Amino acid sequence: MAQSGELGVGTMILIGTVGMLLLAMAVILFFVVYQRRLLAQQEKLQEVQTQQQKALLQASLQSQENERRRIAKDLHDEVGANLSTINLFTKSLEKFIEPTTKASQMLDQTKTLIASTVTSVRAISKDLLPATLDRFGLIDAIGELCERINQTDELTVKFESQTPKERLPVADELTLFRIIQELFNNTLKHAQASEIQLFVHYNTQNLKVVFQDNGVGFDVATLQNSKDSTQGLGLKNLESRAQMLQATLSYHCPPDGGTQVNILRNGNVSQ
Amino acid sequence: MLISIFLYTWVDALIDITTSSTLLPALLALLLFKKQNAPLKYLSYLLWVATLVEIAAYFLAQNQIPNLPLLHVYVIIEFALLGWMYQLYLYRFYPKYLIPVIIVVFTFLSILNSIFVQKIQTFNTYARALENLLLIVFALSFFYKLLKELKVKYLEKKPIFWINTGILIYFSGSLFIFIFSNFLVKRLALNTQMWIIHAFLNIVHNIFYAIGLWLSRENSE
Repeated sequence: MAQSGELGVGTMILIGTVGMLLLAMAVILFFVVYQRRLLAQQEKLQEVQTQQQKALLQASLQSQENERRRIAKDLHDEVGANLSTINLFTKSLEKFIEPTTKASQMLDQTKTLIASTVTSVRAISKDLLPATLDRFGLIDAIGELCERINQTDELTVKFESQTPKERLPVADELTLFRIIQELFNNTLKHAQASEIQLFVHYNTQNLKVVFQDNGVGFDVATLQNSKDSTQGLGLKNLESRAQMLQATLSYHCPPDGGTQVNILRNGNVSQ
Repeated sequence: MLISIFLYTWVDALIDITTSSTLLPALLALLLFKKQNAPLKYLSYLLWVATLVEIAAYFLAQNQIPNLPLLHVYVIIEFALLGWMYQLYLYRFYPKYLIPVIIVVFTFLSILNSIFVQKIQTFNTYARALENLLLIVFALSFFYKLLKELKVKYLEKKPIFWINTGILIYFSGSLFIFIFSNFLVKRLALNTQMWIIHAFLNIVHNIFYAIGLWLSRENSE
């Protein structure tokens, strides 16, 4: 009787032990499998989110371009046309007015105003839709931009490029042009610089743009982490435009002043 | 007769292996001590204590001196060290004072048990069983925390994964054996069988510790 009692307990211990071991194995297995699955899900979700953000950004940039095109067209068609007509009328008026009269003075002032308005409208139109870009390519368009800024006498621009006159795809040229435009605008608005150096070199695979000003520089970190959504946005825009070119954009503000922006792309373009 | 002699020798070998199986992780712990993060250091302390206890137990046994009192002390130390290792991993996820309180209470209960209930010459089955249950709970809690936080990508490269698995397997497998150890000690055949199972579990769990410690050399935590 004692024997069977013993066997009973022995069996119980054995069953208990095997049971616990199986449970432990099951838990571990479950854990490993489940954890992997959850992680995979999480990664997929993040991937989707990143793609969405990218798409949104591109859509917004595209709509910006569309707006600009529209405004440039309206400027040219409506305002430009009217200005031409005003100019014609003014020229005709000249015949009917005696020189050295008050009216003649006012007419001269009007002619000056018209001329400056025409210049402004042209400048705005060019900024919005650089016709030179389409017709003559990126280098010429940038050259023209630099010329215009040089003429304002606010600062000097030294533009250097080392590119055979190849052309990038139209969208890429426009993107790069916008980046450079934005960089000029930022410097003009914030940097209080007196000189800008711009170096552009590209071919279908590589891209190198170095933009340097001798202004006050800025603190990249504070700008990027700024709670004010508009402040970091300009930087983000530049970075995402660079991304569209499959290039990387980096800032460098050395302690003794100035700002240097590098846009680099190495290797094959992946469509 | 022949079978029993063979069994005895084989078991003898197994006992030697299981006793020395603590050496491997203990050595690794010694070599890689500097590279370990704080929780793993507590595991290292435990391994060294375990090795010392095994050596002491062996010599006592050779000299026919009862070595069970060592076990009473060892259980308290083992739980405190492993518990503290878990505390260092879990204190942010679970209430901060939970594990330290459990360690203190367990130590207290274990001492009470050794003095009043299961005197020092018997197996302290109550204490051991409780220790096993608590460590199983800690191991499961750790897995739960890993699932909830989902920070780790390659689990099998993390030392703590292996150590935790080893702890789970060993302490759940040996639970029933420990509960019944006082019963078993009077019945030789059954006792031998059970302790063979325990020996395997012990070897497995030390191997897992060793794997875990080996991985800590890359300082992946």
